[in-house]
Amino acid sequence: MLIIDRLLLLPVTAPVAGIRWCLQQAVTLAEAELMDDSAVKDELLELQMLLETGDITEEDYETREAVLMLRLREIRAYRARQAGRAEDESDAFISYS
Amino acid sequence: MPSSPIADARFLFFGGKGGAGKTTCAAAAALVESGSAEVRVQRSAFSVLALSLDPAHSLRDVLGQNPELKTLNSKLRVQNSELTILELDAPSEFRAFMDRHREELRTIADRGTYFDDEDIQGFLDLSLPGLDEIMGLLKLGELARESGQRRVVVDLPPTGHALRLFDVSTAFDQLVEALELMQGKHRFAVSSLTRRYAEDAIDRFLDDLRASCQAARDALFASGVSAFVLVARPEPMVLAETARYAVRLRELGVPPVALVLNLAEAAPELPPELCRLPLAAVPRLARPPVGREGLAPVAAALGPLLGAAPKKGRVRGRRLPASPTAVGEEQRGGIRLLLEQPRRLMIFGGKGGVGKTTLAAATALGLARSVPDRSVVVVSIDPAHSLGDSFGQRLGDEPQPIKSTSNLLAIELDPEQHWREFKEHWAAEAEQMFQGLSGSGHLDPVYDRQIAARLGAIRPPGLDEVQAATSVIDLLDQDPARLVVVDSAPTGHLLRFLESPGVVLGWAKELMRMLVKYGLASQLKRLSEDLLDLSRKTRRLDALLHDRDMCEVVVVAMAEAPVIAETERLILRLRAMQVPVRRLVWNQAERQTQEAQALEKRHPELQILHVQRRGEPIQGLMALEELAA
Repeated sequence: MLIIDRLLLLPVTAPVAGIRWCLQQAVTLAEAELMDDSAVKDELLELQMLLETGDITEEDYETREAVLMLRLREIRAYRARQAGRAEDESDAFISYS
Repeated sequence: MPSSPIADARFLFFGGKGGAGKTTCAAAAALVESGSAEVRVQRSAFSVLALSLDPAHSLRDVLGQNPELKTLNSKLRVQNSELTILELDAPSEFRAFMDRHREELRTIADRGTYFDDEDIQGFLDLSLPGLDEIMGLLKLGELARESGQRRVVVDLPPTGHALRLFDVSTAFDQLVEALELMQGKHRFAVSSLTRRYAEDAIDRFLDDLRASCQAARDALFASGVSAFVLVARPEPMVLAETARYAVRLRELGVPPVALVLNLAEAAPELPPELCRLPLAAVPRLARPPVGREGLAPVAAALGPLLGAAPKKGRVRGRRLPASPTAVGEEQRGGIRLLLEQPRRLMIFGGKGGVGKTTLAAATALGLARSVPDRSVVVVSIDPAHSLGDSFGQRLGDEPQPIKSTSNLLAIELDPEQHWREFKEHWAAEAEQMFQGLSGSGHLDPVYDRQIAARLGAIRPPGLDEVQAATSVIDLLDQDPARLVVVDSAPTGHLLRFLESPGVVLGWAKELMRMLVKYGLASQLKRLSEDLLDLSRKTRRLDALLHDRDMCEVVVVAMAEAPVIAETERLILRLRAMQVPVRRLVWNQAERQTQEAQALEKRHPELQILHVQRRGEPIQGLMALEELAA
């Protein structure tokens, strides 16, 4: 009977499962971005190259560098928090189910 | 007409160490060949081109700028003979070439790569490292293809850069192959869309370039077309370099056919690499070998090698009874003054053979003694090194401590070694970049891969100067207190070295722009970081080279007319480039000529130093110590 129940309820449960899966993916991606500083470093490298080629001014560079440095600090702080939480919990670091 | 490698050759090359007398010999040979010397070859008509490929030309100093040649020329025309002088001006030849072929090159790049027009124009505006050799090669190709049988007597640059001319012919072949592949890609695309392909202007341009390349190769390498004559002086350092030169030429497949020994009073003992060559000895002369009269004794000495016989059974010019400099003279010189207020970067420059290496070595040794708490490095950036010969110690690309010193290191930069490292370092990344830039899969990735491989294999001819520039800045960066003494290549290539930061910055800038524009910086991280680093370093070096408190070029000269003329051009050029020059050193200056004094008067701002001649060549640590004391 249980199997039949599930089959009958499928039109309702399937979209919910799908949505939950999508949300989980989004969270994973956002987390990856929050944890990963390589994209910021790439942007910094590009910025330095633009300054070296003379395509941006030193002022431009400083403004844009400040934004990137801020993001880099946020990532590092987030990472430190995650590392701290991981030590507290014995489980995987987060669950949304 | 007697048959010999020299008599048969259309191209007669004169090569040797700086200051050995290449230009004098080439000029004298041109006079003999054109039937305008006392000795002459048996020919009905004489049409000769004397071509100088040394960026610091002196052919006209020796041959042209005297009234004699004008009368000579008119007389020659009556005799159905002609002597033309050509001193190749590589930068303006390059501009002319680019003006003529810009459209073709732009079209090829447009067809063969995925660069847009802005990118391509950016690259086409850049100068090239090794321009002198590239344009020299093209000129040889052009001359080899001209109709008529004009003899070409070539005055080559000093050893290191003459050898580069031979390397360039390989690099040029690879470049033409890459361009042909780019055009091949276009041909493939057109014929697969329309099922037929008609040749266009680009195909004809490439055919022409390839033919030029082949003709230049023949002019350089083909026996029966070219003959290579080595010129040397009977001094140990000159003979050692000439022996290495002969070995390298044989390896390249251009065995030298004769040896001319200049200022040869007695037959010296020759190294085994040279002793089997047919020999001509030019004695020390009573008057400078300038103009037709002055060159007559040189022409007479070269006559037998060229298959020429005396015209009227007499040869003008007389030998000096003995060497004008007595052995065992007081040799203390003016090196001490160079040790006062040393600059962090001291570059020794001047015409070939004036004693740059000896003075750079002695100065480095003197500095090491006078500032024992600082590190001193002497580095030779002339691809034909003689710094090791001077110290009497084997040197290489890695810094070697000089015996009996604690703070002196010496280096002979090895472009081959750096090229190998560079290739290993870049091989994978470069291929990735070319593939990334030219895209793949749209048409035929086989072409893109092949183009990338061909372009990646090309060794840029001016790499020596670029590498020298980065090595110098690395040496300075490693230790902020360090003093660096540079033993440079003769005039023409010292100027190219000083110009190299501009060329490097131009290329680095365009490449970095490309990486950012196509979002490749993150994929090609190492390449991007290295380009950024190279650009910053080069900018620092450029600033340093113009900083009066940090850098100076010490100009070395000898009191001989052609040397003085070239020295003055060097000083003026350095001034125009705003490279600090404070001191002029007269080497072997036991008698000062009027021309030398006149030069000093024209440049009162220069501090003048005199280093006197020793009885024997200054070689080995002891002799250098004495000079530096």
